[in-house]
Amino acid sequence: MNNAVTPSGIRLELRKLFLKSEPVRGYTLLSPTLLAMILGLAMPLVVLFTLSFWLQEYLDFIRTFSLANYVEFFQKPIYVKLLLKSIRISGMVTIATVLLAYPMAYFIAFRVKSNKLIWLILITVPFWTSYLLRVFAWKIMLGYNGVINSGLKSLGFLTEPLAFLLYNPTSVVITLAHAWAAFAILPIYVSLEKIDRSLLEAGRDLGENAWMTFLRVTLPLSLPGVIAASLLVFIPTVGDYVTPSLVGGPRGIMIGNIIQSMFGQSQNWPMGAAISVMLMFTVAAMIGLFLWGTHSYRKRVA
Amino acid sequence: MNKDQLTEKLATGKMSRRQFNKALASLGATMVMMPMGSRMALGASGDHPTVFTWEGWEIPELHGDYIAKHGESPNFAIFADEEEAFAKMRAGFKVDITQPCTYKIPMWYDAGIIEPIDTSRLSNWSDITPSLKTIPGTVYGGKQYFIPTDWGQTSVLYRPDLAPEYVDNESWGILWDPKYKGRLSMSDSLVDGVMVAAIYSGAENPFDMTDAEMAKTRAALKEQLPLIRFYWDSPTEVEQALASGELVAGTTWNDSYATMKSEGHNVAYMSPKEGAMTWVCGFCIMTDHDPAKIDKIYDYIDAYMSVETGVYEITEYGYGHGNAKAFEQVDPEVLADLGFTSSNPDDMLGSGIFQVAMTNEAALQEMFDEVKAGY
Amino acid sequence: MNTNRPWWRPDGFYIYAVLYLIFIYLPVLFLPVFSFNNSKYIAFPLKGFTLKWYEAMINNPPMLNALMNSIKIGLIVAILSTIFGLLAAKAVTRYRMPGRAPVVGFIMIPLVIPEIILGISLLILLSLADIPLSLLTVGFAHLLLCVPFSMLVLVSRMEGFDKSMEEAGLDLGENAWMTFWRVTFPIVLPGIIASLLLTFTISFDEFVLAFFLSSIEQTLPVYIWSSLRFPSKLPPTLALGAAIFMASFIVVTFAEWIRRRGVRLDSTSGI
Repeated sequence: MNNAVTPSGIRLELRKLFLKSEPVRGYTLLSPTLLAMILGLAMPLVVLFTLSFWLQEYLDFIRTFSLANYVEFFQKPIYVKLLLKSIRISGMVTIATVLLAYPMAYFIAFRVKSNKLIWLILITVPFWTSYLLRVFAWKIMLGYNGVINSGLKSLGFLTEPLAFLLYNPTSVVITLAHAWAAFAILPIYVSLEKIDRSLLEAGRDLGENAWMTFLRVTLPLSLPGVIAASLLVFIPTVGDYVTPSLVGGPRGIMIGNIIQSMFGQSQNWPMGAAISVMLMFTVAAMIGLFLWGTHSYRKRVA
Repeated sequence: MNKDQLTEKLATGKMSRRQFNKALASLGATMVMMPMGSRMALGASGDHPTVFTWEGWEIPELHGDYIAKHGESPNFAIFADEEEAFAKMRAGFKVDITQPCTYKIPMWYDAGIIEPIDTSRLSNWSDITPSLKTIPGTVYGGKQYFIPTDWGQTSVLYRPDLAPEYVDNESWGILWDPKYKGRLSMSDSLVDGVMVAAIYSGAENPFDMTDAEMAKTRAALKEQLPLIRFYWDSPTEVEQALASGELVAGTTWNDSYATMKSEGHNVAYMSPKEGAMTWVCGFCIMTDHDPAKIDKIYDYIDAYMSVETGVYEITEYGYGHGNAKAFEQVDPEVLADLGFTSSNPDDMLGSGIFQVAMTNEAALQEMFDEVKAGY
Repeated sequence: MNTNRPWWRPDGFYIYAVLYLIFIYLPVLFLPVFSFNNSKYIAFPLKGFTLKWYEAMINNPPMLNALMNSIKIGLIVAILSTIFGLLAAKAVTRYRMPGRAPVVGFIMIPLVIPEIILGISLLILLSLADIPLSLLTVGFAHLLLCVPFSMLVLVSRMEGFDKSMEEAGLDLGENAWMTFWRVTFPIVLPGIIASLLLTFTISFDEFVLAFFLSSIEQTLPVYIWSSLRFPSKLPPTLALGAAIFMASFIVVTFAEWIRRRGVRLDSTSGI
């Protein structure tokens, strides 16, 4: 007799089905996270999109569908210009941070033998001091009577302090590259760590030099970490408005500052929402492009 | 709201400002049932009212009488600037008392978030400096919507050793002096920043400018931009930079002068010939306040208005206080050291330009952002 | 150090590692220096040694309270978001699922959405649902923000993960949980540690969401930002930052010392 007709049999069959169906198992595993995110994000997204199609008149919302905010976004040069500027600065930060972080992550993954956890924590500890204090610390480093200027002056290289060290896009890039260092090192380390050491030895046995092995094996295999690091640094810094206003000087304004002032002094929430939507779409498109690029690279290498 | 009204609202596409919160509610109404009839006790705990104020203005020394009467301090929620505070309250954060400055009152009144204050319930009201009681935009229909408690000046703090030619020629113009290119700073705000440019460019009433005056202000800001080292977000930044010699001059509040002087720095605070600005902050009672706590709300405000609070605020913070009697209690020499030129607040208040609400803040902000973005 | 010759030759990595550590530590090392400086202003030249800022720090209950709040929220958020991130990362790397890309995209939204909008909309949601603001609401917002970070890190760890090892476990008759614990967990452990460190750091430093979603209990970043109004409050804050930094450093060094002693006593157990 087929045991599928008995109740326990049905349960067994369902269980088998459950175990076999990948989508079901996948979504079951995903459900707690997804539910929490839906609970927290559905509303903000509705608010964001709805607001972006409304208009503001002094303190009131005009609640009729309108594309005026989006039209204004493209009509006034300031928004697109600042969006591009933000992307440029944040792109520079990402490249600098990831390039600087990679050798460090590599060092921890392959060179450090037994106390890796300590190294990971050592890299994170500086970032448990408040961000604001670190910004002030950078002002001490780069400032008018700061460490670099005082040092050069006392060594006799300078008579007047160098003013160009601080309050310009370069100081924004330096400060951000410092602030996000751990966010680049950790993902890269994590993906380097999983590389099978025998693959690297195989390369050496084939007579490759270290550089060839790196390009052929290590880099492609660590690419997921590099991608994660790039995203973790790029995305949050595009919308940052604190660093540019603290160390960027009078021209330090970025797209995040405009969004901020739309929700504050300008009292134009709908416009702020529309700018945010444009920012989100631009960033999403760039990520898509980036993932597509890295994906085809990995295919080519593999 | 019945259906006809709703249709009409939708048809005209407009709604009254009082319906703002309902509009917000409608944003999420598809997902969340609107709770009816219950007061949203966001934040409030215990029997005490919640005061939404600046960091540093919540310390026990500033409301001693309240503690004496009720045994402990009320609840405090802290904001770093009024814009954020306003956004937070508009999004649904309920508090009982706030402590904004005068130039924000008309907008808050228009938003319907503040209510009239019964001054007869405040024992210290009669001691408040008279000129502070009638600042434009704080009284509506003969009713007081704002209790002035703190005031001070916005002017130029500079290093006389680095810019000696301004010592007997004090002017906002130092902030436009090409000689000090890259060593000047101004507040990154409308009221303490853009308004300075308006005064400098000769606007008749900086707080209510004509289009031509707006254009002149914009030109002044553009002219100044290459000279500016940075626009400051907090007094800490500008004082740091003046102390290190990075800056020659910057706009500050008057307490910066007192703080830097006491640290032994060679700084001077201008009385610009174009006129310094005077800011006044104080209390509002929110329409969303908990009715059961109204007595304690008045007790708190009254405590802050007391002479003791005034003396503490003047001597420790270097700010002016609304209570005129407080000035009589402070040694004139101490007052002079703090940068107060007289023990009669009306003398000082009369010489400055009162900061009031700016017409068309949004346009001003847009202009400022555009200048900073290079337009 | 081990005697095996490394598989690659140049030792430039050591030099680089040291230089990099200098880069990330040097600015931060000025915090302790200026926390002992007898001046309200952080500027050279130094004015003289003082402990008064530490005294002011200890006598500042709101600041210490804010610190405790931030640590509490940070720890809870780090653990919860890592659990959520782990589940999600396992699901998307282990199973073929229709609609995977949009779902992952959705979970990543907190990275892209400006925090001020997330803060304001969550506040509207909470007031509609009649949920009072507290540290819990701040924690929830931080959780939303941290899950994408955690998930990205863990996905990069689990991508290309060999399924056969888990299947072997299951074939041996172990239940899924045992397999996870015995097989998967050790492999993803570095990712979990990285995720915990990152998410704690994010929560500990976040202030926009914390401002909009906190009530009368503050977190440390909100406290520090609002206290910039008074320059005299900066040095005690500096002392606090320096104290956090030095304490973490000492704890880490001490832990390492203990571990090394343990290794020496029991040289067979190398981690």
